[in-house]
Amino acid sequence: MTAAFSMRDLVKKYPDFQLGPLNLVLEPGTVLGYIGPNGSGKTTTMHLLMGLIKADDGTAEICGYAQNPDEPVWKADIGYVGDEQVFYEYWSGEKNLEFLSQFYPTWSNPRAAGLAKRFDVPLKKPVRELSKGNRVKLALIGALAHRPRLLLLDEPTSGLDPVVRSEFLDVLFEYMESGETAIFYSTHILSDISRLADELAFIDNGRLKLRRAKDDLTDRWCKISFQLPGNNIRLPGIATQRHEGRDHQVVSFDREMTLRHLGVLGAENVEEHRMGIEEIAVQILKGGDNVADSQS
Amino acid sequence: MWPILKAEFRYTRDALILTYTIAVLFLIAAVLIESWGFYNFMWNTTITYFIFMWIVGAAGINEKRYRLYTVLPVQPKEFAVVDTLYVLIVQLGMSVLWVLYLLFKPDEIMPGTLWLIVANNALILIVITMFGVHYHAGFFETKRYTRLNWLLLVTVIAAIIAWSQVGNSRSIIRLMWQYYASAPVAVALVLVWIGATALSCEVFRRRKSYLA
Amino acid sequence: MLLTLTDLSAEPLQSQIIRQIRASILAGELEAGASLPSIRALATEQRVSVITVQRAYESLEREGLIHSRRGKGFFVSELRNQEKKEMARQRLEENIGPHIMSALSEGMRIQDIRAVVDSVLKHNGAKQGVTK
Repeated sequence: MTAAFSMRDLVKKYPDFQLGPLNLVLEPGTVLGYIGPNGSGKTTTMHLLMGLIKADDGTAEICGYAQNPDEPVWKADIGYVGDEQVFYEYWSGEKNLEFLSQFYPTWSNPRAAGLAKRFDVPLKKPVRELSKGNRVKLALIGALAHRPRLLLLDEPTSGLDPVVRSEFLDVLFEYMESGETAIFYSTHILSDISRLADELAFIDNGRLKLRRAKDDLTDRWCKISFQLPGNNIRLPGIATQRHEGRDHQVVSFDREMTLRHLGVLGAENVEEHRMGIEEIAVQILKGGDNVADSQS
Repeated sequence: MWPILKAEFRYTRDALILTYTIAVLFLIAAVLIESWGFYNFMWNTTITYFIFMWIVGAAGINEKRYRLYTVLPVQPKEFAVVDTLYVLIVQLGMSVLWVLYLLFKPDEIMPGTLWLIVANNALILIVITMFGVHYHAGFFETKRYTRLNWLLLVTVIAAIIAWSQVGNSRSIIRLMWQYYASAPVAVALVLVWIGATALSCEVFRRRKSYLA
Repeated sequence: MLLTLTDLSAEPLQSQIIRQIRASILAGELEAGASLPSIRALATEQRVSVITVQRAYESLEREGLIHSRRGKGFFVSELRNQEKKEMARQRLEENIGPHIMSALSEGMRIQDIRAVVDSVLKHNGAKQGVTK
């Protein structure tokens, strides 16, 4: 099956920042979480995929099509909710959706109406009077109503209250059910994708640090506390460590390896605690390249 | 392309109605008042036209219209054509009022009047198109283009100011009728307009960013 | 299939799925030959990632509790009651072994450990209605 998108050595240069070379492929049936601090290049990546900005080098393909602006058929396969939501401000949500529907052969009006009901979006109000949350919801409806093969979501849940957020995630789970769609979801709020994401890609300062299956990360990372005399204890698979006297606490990114070693060293009172995906993400982003490299 | 053109007209419908109402009021005044004159009336509608375009253009930029379009599965050249048609149609509407004026005041018709109308239409459209070129060229992200851009803008504004002073000089008005209001000049200006439009489309297509 | 999954537990979601399906099978609630929801369907229903369900199913398959038929999905394997009992027994031994060793190393006596087991059975076993 053709990849939902594939980026090859994609580069975008700005005066004080460079994104890439970026190499990333997303297979259909997968939800890929895109995680990184502010300014790391997440939004730029989204803009490049959507064709809102042009790359300086490298190529990208969407559902097998090259990103040719003059043959924009590939854009019909994308549903995009960006960092900003643009509309005809003085028109209502309804009129805006009506406008959009003309461009997508696969648009379904009942589907759009159904989503509007679920999200409780006031469709008759002019868009300029809508709250940020409603604007995002409207953008989401516009992105989903034509059943695209790829959903590009750039921090979509900012501004959404918990009830809507939950409804939104439900809709995304349903969207993925066929196995033929893919979601590329950039976010700060890891709890959103903690269950939805199949894989996570970490980006920092324009470079891709790591890409792993989410379950791999939660299986392999853990916090371990143990007792062992001595100060300079070198353990493999450690991201951070601290100790007070005999009591040690480490964050390990390779549970089995570290535990095995602790066994060999004869450590006592070994206790391990699972880490949530948020904690793991912080460690990966804070940690040096050795942490990231060791994961591959 | 047609859905977009239709949407643009529908969206600016109220502003268009207001603008044409003002132009018609000018028409009425110009027809009723003896000393108004065709030349002044043309200026009235032209200034109204530019103010209208300025407001609509600014609103479009504010609402990031090109960003909305770029996400759609539509070729960039279709947007360029929409822009061209939009400014053309609105100006042609104004020139209909010019013809109406002449129907009321047939004694102001001179041998070169037809060419004057064509030439003025072309000139106005060239100016508005160059504003478009200036705006789109701003998204090229290189220093060379930025400086060229500002030079362009300054030139155009200077030309507009210069042209507006023309109406005050009798000798220049005579020259205008002698040379400007003629077939060759009119045709030449139309060709220049076509060239400016092509330039505008190309510049739009080559933008590196459609975020705004 | 009624699963209760929670983010709040120390146990990974994958393990929760495995444990609950296993329990259903060993207790006879899921009968031999019964079909399990497809990976995607279960993932959507439980609001978890596809990979999580996939790995859970793979793990259960390795244990011999379920098997997959190409193009048809996953089914509960045929296990004699004896086999089920043996599996359950083995798991208990694996789970309880380390805890018993811990207790011994903390100085508990064997009869005290047995008393604790009895007490637990008295309080919880009654609820399950297990007195075989």
